[in-house]
Amino acid sequence: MKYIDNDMDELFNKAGQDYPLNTDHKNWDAVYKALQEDKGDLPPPQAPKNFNRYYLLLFLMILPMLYIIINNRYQYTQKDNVSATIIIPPAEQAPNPNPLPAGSIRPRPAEADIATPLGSTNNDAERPDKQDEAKSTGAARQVLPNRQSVTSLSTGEYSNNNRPVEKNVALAARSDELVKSGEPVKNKIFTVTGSYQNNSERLKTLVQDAQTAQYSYLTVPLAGVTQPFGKPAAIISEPPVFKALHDAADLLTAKQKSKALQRRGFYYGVKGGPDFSSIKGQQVKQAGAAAGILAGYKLNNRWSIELAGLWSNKKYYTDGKYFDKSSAYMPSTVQIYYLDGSCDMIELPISVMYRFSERANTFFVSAGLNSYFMKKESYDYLAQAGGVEYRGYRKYKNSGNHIFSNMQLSGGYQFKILGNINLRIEPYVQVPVQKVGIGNMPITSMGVHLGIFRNIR
Amino acid sequence: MDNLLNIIDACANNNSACQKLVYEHYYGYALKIVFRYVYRYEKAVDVVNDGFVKVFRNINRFVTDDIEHVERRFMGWMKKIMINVAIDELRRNNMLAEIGGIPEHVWNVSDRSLSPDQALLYKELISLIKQLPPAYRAVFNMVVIDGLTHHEVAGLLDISVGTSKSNLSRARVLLQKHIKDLEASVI
Repeated sequence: MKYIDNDMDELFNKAGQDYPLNTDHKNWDAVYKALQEDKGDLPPPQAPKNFNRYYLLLFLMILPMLYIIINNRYQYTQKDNVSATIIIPPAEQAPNPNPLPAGSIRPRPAEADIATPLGSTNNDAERPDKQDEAKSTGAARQVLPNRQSVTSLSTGEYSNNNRPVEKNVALAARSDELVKSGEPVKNKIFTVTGSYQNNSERLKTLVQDAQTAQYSYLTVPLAGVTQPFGKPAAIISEPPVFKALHDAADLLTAKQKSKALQRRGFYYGVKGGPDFSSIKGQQVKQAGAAAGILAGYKLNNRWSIELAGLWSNKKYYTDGKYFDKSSAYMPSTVQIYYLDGSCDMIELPISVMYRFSERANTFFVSAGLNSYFMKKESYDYLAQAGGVEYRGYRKYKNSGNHIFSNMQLSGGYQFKILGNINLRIEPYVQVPVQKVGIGNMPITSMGVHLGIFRNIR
Repeated sequence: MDNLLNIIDACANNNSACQKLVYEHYYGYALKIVFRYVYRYEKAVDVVNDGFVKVFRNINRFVTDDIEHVERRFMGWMKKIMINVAIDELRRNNMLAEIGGIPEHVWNVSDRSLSPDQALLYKELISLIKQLPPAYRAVFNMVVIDGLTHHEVAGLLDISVGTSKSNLSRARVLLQKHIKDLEASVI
């Protein structure tokens, strides 16, 4: 029965393929009309969906930036200027039974003993006790004829926590406190905001004022030296006060410098920017874009190695002769006049970077190899085949991975914007080492990457 | 149909000259598929036209990496579309059997590619298929002539694989009976 079935199936199969049917009733017009009506029903053209993806990429780029900035801002607020506390030798006071050696460190006195904490002076005028003090200022001036010279310290060096606008106000308040009449201020700390350096003479005047006003301590920030909050200040007890102050500042600055010299470590960040691609130096019609993450390791203050992962969209135009039709599944009889190509890919550049300076703000150059992992390619083209000229469109997915297919050269400038955060402007050029894409084309790209990265210490 | 891939490309870009070329070249092939499913010739012609509209509307989805056999692939792809539109037509009629004979003018027995005997035999066999109830006819056409599997048939007709096999078996029995009747009448 099975054999009968098989024979019968074969016979019916042949009959089904070749049976004699009248096929003269073609009606192309009906089909054409239906196709035209179909066209009329098409929805209006919409913006390419890729557009939304770029917004998403931008958003993803901003998120880590925000994290870096907020995180670093928090750490930045945890720091304070290092200050030196000068023990004022009282004019008519007995010598200190336990003097500290010059440049020695000891913990700050308790907060309760600090008369004017650092940075609290801007609102002093609003406080009732300070208003009372202001009333007494006239009398105090007679006691302290050098007050004017103290006030003049505000000409530059007395910056108030790096806020120059406020420094005059801060200094005036300090002076008012110094000249406070009739109030013994023994064993109290007087805190000066700003730096003393390069103004030793004026600082001397300030110390004299403090001495006259019977202050026991004078705390002076050390210029340009920062230290994590909560660390003890340098306390200078022995004259010559100014040499000791300078020594302490130099010591701390040197420590920071030595730290700076050993800047090894990882960094990470994000970068992105426009991309202009061309084939064999032909025209660039449209700009692409690239964005992604980067991570690197500083070998020393000059050299580092860096790896990035970028989602990239390249747009390019080419004459048909540079497009390899065979690998794009196009018959050799098709004559392509030109193509507008667009490809989405993942770029993995690995590079070596050299900085021209050991400072945070420096020029740099970088060289490396770039791998392309093609995700999607699409081509609009004008072609001719069999005497018919037509516009074609083709799309290819995952058309190939091209390891180290491009050499990337870049150079630029990087600068510190906040704490450990650096900004980088990096013009680049990608030179083809091998042909890439479904059409085996040598793609040359150039553009500018804007990057933001954070050092991990 | 030289450079079929180019023509397909052009069709995808709404080049009506190339679309007409494809339509005229494959019209007979498509009609022979559809007419095995759809009983009425005039209806089959309409269904074929609908099928071509569908073909041109979706031709950009046709992809092949087999450059050597583009036409074979394309015909296979087109056949599936034609079968689908024919099945849709049968469904519209709730798979109801139609009555009435097939007019002689639909046949082209003078087809030179076939011997007269073959032409008559094939014509009779197709007539026998068309006399089957639509559900049996569809399964027999799909499995025996168009080479679909029972799983594919089950998916297309929304029936179980068992039902598909059962319908095929019954179709064969009926055809064998018809063939015997035909032989008896000739003798």
